[in-house]
Amino acid sequence: MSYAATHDQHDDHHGAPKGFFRRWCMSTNHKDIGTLYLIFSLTMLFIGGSFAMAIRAELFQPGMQLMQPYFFNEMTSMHALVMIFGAIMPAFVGLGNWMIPLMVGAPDMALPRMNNLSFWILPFAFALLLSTLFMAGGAPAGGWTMYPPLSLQSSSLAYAVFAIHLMGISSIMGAINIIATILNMRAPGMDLMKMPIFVWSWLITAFLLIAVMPALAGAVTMLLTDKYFGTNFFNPGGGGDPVLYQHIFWFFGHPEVYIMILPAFGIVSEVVPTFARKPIFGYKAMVFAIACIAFLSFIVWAHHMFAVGLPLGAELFFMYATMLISVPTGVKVFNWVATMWGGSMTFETPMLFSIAFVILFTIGGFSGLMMALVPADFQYHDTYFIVAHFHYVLVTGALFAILSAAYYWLPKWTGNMYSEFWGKVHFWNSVIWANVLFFPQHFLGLAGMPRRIPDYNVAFANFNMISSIGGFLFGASQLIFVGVLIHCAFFSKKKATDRVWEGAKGLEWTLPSPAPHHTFEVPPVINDDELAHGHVDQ
Amino acid sequence: MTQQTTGHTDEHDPRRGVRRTVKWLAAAALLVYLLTFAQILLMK
Amino acid sequence: MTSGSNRLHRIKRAVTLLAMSAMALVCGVVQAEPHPWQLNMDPGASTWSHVPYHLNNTALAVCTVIGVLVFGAMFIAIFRFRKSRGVVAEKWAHNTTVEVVWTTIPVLILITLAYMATGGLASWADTTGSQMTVKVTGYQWKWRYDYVDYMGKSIDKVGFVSKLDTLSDQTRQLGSGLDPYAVKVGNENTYLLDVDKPLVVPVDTKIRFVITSGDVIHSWWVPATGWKIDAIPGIINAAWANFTATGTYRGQCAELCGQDHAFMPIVVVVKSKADFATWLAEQEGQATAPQTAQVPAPVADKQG
Repeated sequence: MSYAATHDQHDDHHGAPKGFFRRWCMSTNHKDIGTLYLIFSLTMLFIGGSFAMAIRAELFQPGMQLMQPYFFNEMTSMHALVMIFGAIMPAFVGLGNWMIPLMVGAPDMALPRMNNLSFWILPFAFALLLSTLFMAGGAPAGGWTMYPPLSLQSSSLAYAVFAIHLMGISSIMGAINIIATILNMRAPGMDLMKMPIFVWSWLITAFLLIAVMPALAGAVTMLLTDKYFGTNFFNPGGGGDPVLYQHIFWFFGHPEVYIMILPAFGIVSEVVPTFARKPIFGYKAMVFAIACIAFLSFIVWAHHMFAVGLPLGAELFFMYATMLISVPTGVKVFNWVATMWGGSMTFETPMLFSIAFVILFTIGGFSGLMMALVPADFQYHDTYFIVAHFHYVLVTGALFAILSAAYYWLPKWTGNMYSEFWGKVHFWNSVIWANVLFFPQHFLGLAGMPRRIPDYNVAFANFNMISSIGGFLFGASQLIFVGVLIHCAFFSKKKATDRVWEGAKGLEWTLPSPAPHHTFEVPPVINDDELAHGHVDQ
Repeated sequence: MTQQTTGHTDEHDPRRGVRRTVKWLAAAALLVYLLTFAQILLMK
Repeated sequence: MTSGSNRLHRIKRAVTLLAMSAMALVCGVVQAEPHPWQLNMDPGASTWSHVPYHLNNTALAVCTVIGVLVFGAMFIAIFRFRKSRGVVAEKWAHNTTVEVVWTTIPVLILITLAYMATGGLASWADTTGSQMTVKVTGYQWKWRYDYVDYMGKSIDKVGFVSKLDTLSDQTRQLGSGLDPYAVKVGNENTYLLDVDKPLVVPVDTKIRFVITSGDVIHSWWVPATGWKIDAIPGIINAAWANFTATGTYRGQCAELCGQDHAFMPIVVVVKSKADFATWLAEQEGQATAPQTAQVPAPVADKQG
């Protein structure tokens, strides 16, 4: 590789800046910012995870043992906000930051300084949000959905609203950056229909972000003015309507769900072909399915609101539209299986996480289909069945895909191989305990246990205890991951090759491992055989 | 830094492409924000 | 010796419970309360409640079959197409026929499910022809019930607040030292599922519930009816239930409504029509009698 020799007129750009502050706080380098995002997300995973441990500890037995009910509500609300906005979304942005320029042959993101800003807003947003835990009135306790009028009773509403505004600004800037990069910075010959599916999934996700984050910002702004400036957007006493908030919130909230799963689809669509040593089955169908899901995500929001008393016609429309989503989602699952079929598979840790993703995400999809049926949802709604469903799609779905991606690209990032043995220990612990944690929650919901309750009838005791045990062990398993990361980054003796994986295809694998601080300063000459999807016209 | 903002796909001036994209997207985001209010006010 | 027989006894009880759950799962035995190790939804006890129950079972069966096929294919692939078995990857990456097939078949399955759900939903939405109306109002953290009319006659001044029973309330306090397992009515554990004054309704009567709230959003849910619906300030929602068997049916608030969200259960006692008429007359007598005039009249909940 001769990247170092091509641009000697820019000597100062070849290494990373020396000082810690200059390197990390003033960084405009997509790799360093990507690393910052990933470390931030991992930190938030553990903070949000500690809230989950508190929740599962209180639910370990019937009766109140550890905390007041209000604090329990703070825990559920903060757990969701931190995991969604702090762990899952920044992890995908970090992966996008690191990999998109490498995958399309760009020297950096289109707007490197804005990239720095979109990251550095986040720690401040979360400092604001988490500081409420230490305040007299406590953290927001009205659920992450912040439905009025309940959310208006919270004394920390303003903190939550400003934190969400900051996160929203960060997400929108990140999304603009990603779209500008993908549309303008691709190397010659990297046609849209030759891009890796991960890049496609992020392009579509970024459009979703721009379309819905401002709607959330608008909704929470109205909450703020309702509480502090005497407006009556959602106050029935003043002619407002609390249900309208829910409509806006879920107009944001449902696409948000796909914001957290489409990049996961992209990751799995990279990992499965690599370890099956066979091109992805139905590339065009895969891209089209992502676009379809993104479109449908805008017209299904009221399926979160089947119990608010919608008119019959609306319930039917949203039921049909929701059911329709299972068609493109099904296509994706079938295509992943078809990619494995006839392949030559090996089962390194990234592949294991991706296979677990396909199975467990599909289980979450099944319960999603069941919930789309309105009469059945009258029973499921706001029970532990729902909790089980969205943890299957978000933990064993989104989070497993992120873990898969971390193991997949870690050698490219650090230049070292991680410990395959400890990676597999992490995987098997994660997959077993996640199921012990979440599967019994289906039964609890069906038996009639509402969600967001700190205490329950003794009939629910058995499965809650099993679920809690699974929860503690799942939480502890993630410490293995931290160990693997630290070992890989600082102590691993095993150097990674440039290609890393035998079946890996795509521009990022043509670079040295670890990827140098600056890459593709001169656009690479693209050979279709090098690309994972160089020949898709058949 | 000049190299970093130089794209490859647009032969003429890639920076113009980036700027155009950013303008459109930022305008779209602002529009959604304002429409949210407009919609609530109309529905009330 | 004693501990051994104790353990044996416990295992026996667990087996019996499991068998009961399995029976409930398979044959749909009427089971009104949640019970330990319960695995599936109950069929409920109203004329409509079988709709969600059967939809749930059908959808679950459909999903199980699809799951077995898809995951089965995947596991076959995992075992057959391993590099360690010396398999060489094939080159194909596209097949229009199978793609059309696996797009079409799900559509057909979905149409069937949607057809079933649509019929069920239409019957749920039809609140006409009700013989009784009860107004339900949610408050932080209790329910208020007002009887509006019964058999075409309007009812005056029968209304009361229903909140968590005292024993549950004492037991659920942080560090109370009381045992949730000791909160019982007869043989049944009613921890957090009992109230001081239940809603009393007649059997075999189409009851229209009009549901609203006096403060934040709540959700009125008795699983035996087959539905829940939100109680929203400023909005009046309507739903109906026609109980098919007398008995006591328990439920809980199903929308986060603040710190005591978990502690505002719902109990519906379904009586025979004769018993209900007696009960209603008693209540009306009480309401008009001067010494009990402090029973709050249903006026203060019109907020919004």
